[in-house]
Amino acid sequence: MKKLLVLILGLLLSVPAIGQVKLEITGGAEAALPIAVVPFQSETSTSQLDFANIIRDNLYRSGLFDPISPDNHLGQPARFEDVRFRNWRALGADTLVVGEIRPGEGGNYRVRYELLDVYGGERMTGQRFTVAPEGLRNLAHTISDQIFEAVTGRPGGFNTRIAYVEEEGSVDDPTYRLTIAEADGHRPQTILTSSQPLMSPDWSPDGERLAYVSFESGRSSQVFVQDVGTGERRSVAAFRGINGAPAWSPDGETLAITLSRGGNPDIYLIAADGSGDARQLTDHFGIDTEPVWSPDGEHLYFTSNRGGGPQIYRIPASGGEAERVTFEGKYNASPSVSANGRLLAFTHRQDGHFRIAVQDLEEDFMRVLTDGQLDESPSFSASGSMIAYTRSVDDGTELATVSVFGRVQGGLTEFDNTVREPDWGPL
Amino acid sequence: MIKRETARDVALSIGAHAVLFLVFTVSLRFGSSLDDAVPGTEQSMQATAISQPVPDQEAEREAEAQAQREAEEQARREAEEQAQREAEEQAQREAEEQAQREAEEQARREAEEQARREAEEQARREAEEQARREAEEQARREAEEQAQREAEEQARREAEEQARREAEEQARREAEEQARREAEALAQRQAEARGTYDAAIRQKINRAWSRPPGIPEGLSAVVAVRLGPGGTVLSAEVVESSGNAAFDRSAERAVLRADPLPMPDEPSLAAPYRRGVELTFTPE
Repeated sequence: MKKLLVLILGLLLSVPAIGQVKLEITGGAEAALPIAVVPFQSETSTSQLDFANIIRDNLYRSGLFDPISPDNHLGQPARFEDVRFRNWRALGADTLVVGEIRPGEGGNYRVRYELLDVYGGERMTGQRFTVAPEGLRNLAHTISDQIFEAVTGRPGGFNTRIAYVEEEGSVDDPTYRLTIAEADGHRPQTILTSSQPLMSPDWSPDGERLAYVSFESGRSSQVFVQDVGTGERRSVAAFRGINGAPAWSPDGETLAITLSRGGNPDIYLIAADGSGDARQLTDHFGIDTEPVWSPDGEHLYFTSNRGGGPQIYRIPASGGEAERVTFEGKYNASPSVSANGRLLAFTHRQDGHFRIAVQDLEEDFMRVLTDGQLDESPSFSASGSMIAYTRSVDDGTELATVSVFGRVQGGLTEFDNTVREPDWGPL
Repeated sequence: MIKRETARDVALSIGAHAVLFLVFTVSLRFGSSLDDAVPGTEQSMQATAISQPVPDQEAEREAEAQAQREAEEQARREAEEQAQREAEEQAQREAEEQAQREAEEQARREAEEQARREAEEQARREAEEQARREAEEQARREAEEQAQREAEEQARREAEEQARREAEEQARREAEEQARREAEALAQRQAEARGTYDAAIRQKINRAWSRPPGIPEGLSAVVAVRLGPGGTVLSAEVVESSGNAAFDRSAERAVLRADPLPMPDEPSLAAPYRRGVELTFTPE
């Protein structure tokens, strides 16, 4: 009998068609990952700020996560040991965040969180922190970063800042503010107020300075560089005519700016400290403006109407021939390059509306990401997964973000004011 | 040999007795008196009494008578001696004859005895020999028979063994054939089941597979899945990484989300799946 079994087994194994089963799974779908961020257990009323909600919103805006509403949560475990994974699987959550906030010494808080793999039933990451009360929001961003990176393998970039210009007051008596907010639009801080227009803020690569355009001297524009921490500022470009659209080189040494001192606007390079003369990079009778650097510092992208309507062009940083990059549509302007240099975001006119589009620079493939009426001034997040931009609302414009993948778009804050030209700061 | 010696000893002994008897008889004659009536001497005393003359005249006659007597005495003594000698000779001859006869008799008896014994011995030996031969013959026949029986038994056993082996071989071949047919049938049914269930598994996992947007193109990951009864996912592990952690995790999760996977109930059809399923995940 045993012999027979061995024989049969041998015969079975000798038939190649019924060896190990190998299958190809082709397709699937891209979708935001369902995640449950359980409200952090807290004994204190000071954490009125909804810690878990900050994380939830961050993850949602990235477009890569689909947080499950806490209303649907089954229980509120605060630690791994208390989690009944079956419940969360039933809820469809792939990952789960639990944690707690407790008062610590000296008015600080002790915060602990754990990221759990619901299907694997295991802990992916987690950490303990001690923070001052004012550090809680940043900590929520830091934890968001850790979750994002643990799940996607990419940096989250939630603990970054966005600079933008606000315009308030009447048309006759406007006030301009240069403002910095957290990446989720919260806790805006104005670092400069002017009765004259402020334009085109651009973060230095180290995140310590902002270059921007100010018309404070009257009729002509200047480019200023301001230390964000100290408020110290100085003019680095005040040439005749237009001094506009500064852009830091990746090494922080050079600013690309638009000057019209040659008669019409062209792209020039100047030292970031304003020393020395400007070196002309483009020379065309059309308008060349809004330069941005490729991450490797080898090229600059800029907007030019040299072909008729505005399009994006590229030119070597060392000079030479500019080549057109965008071809779809008659209006493509205000470029921003992703941190990996692969994607170019710009304002694209589609069916009479201005929208944010991205073009894959390797595949030459363009996608329109937003569906607003007037979406402008895209700026890639440092992590490259989101784009900040402005969009029109009833009585003005607001700061918004759109995820590059998944196309989650939404306003960050409710403003009474008009918001212009956001620039997303470095990590 | 021993018996022959004994016979001679007996003969010698008889001879010795005869001599002793003679000596004894003679010595009795020398020392005997008339009173000594011994049956053996009665005759010679009678004979002596018969031959003695009776003297009757004087001197001359005396002398003559003397001489006569002496002569007669002489004659008588001589006669007596003669008789004595003759008697003795006779006796001796007789004794000798007797002894001779006895010896002969003895010898005869002994010879007879010897012959008898020898005959008996011969007969005995022959009987023994006969018995031995018969016994040997018997033993030989029995040995032959035994050998015969054993040979037959051996042959029978070998024949049985042969038959048994052939039967086993036959049974084995039939079993092999049967097993082969069953295995073929099983393989056929497994192949059919594979067609159905492979598609079902692919479909279910495909539906369950969602990956975070923005993952680079051209990735592929291989997930090894161990399945329990009823298609329960025991484990799902990336064995060939795509190089992208999020992609890998999405593949693993797709399997876990699809748990349990479609699988045949019948153990023989489920066997290929139970041995492990290898899934290659590719977006396009």
